[in-house]
Amino acid sequence: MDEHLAEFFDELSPAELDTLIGDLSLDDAPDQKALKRLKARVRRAHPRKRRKTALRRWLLPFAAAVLAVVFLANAGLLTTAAQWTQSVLGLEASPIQGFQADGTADFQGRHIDILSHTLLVCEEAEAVSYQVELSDLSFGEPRRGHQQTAPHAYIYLYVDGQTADSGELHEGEPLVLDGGPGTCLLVVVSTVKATISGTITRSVGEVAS
Amino acid sequence: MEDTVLLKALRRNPDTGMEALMEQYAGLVDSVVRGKLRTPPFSGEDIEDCVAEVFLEFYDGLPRFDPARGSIRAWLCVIARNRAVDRVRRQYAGPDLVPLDDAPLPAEGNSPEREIIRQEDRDRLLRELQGLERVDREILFRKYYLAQPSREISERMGLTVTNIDTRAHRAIGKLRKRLEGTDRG
Repeated sequence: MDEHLAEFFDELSPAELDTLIGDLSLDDAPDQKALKRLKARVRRAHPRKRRKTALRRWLLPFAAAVLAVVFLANAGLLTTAAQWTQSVLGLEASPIQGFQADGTADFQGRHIDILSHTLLVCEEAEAVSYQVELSDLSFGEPRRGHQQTAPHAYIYLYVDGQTADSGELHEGEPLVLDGGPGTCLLVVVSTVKATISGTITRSVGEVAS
Repeated sequence: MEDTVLLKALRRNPDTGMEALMEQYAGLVDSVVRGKLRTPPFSGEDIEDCVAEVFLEFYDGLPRFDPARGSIRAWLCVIARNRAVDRVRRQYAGPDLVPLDDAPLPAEGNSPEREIIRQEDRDRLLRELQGLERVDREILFRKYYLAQPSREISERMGLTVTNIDTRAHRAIGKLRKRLEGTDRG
């Protein structure tokens, strides 16, 4: 029986061991001197992992942050975190997400500080037309690095990542953009900093084939 | 420290995670290794070397560690036992090779049928061991897995040597009786 038991214990899998000793307090306190030596031994045996860990933990994020700052500073884009998000992603943090029951969506005082501003993101099941009408459009100072640029604002309709339609925005002049079905993005691009307000009206089934 | 906390620590900061792991389990891993390398020609240095190897192997295998297949403690025990057995094998693997013609034939007991019966026997023994009192299970585990002598078990468990021997003897007797009983049934 002794031999049988010894052989049995020797062949136990981790799961079997757990069922057998899971409730036992077998974690005998180690000899402190031996523990110290063990820690030193393990540290010595793993210098490569330690270096890799330090590299991963500190050096790589630091280098990435420096590169990002240098890139943004060179591009004249380093102003605020919101602008950073806009410039890198080309998206504004809180676009209009949908339309009211009457098919309109209002937007007020949207600042176009850098490059582009996403006015609207929506999923369209059918072909649609968007009529964009500005109630207010005011141009501000030029963007950094674009001192000589004349002020103009354009709107682009992207459907599933492709430009479906575009046009120049003028205050009081409605502009119709056709697109869908698919994921539609209405993105305003201004040559200088600008503030816009207005209404988007959505109509279904009016797209010329 | 619970396994989930230890695993998180090991993944977030391997240095501190490993320290915590060693503080918690170095004693047990040492006991498992010592059970196999207790006698000469193995030295204390061999044991410490093997214990370090166990923790390093556990760390290297961490990406594949699946808590559903066993606790950290159980995995460390199995790794420790395997590494210690490897050392014993290496130590006693002499240069003498047996010519193929002189090698003994495999025993008949290795057939698939025998393997199934053996597995059934193991499952039954595991069940019967689970049915023993906690103290008896611990005594048997220490005696047969950690190969601790009765005196060491008595020190660890705070029982007399006589008590340890008696309990072990009775537990084995109980196991034998139950296994014979199921054989007949």
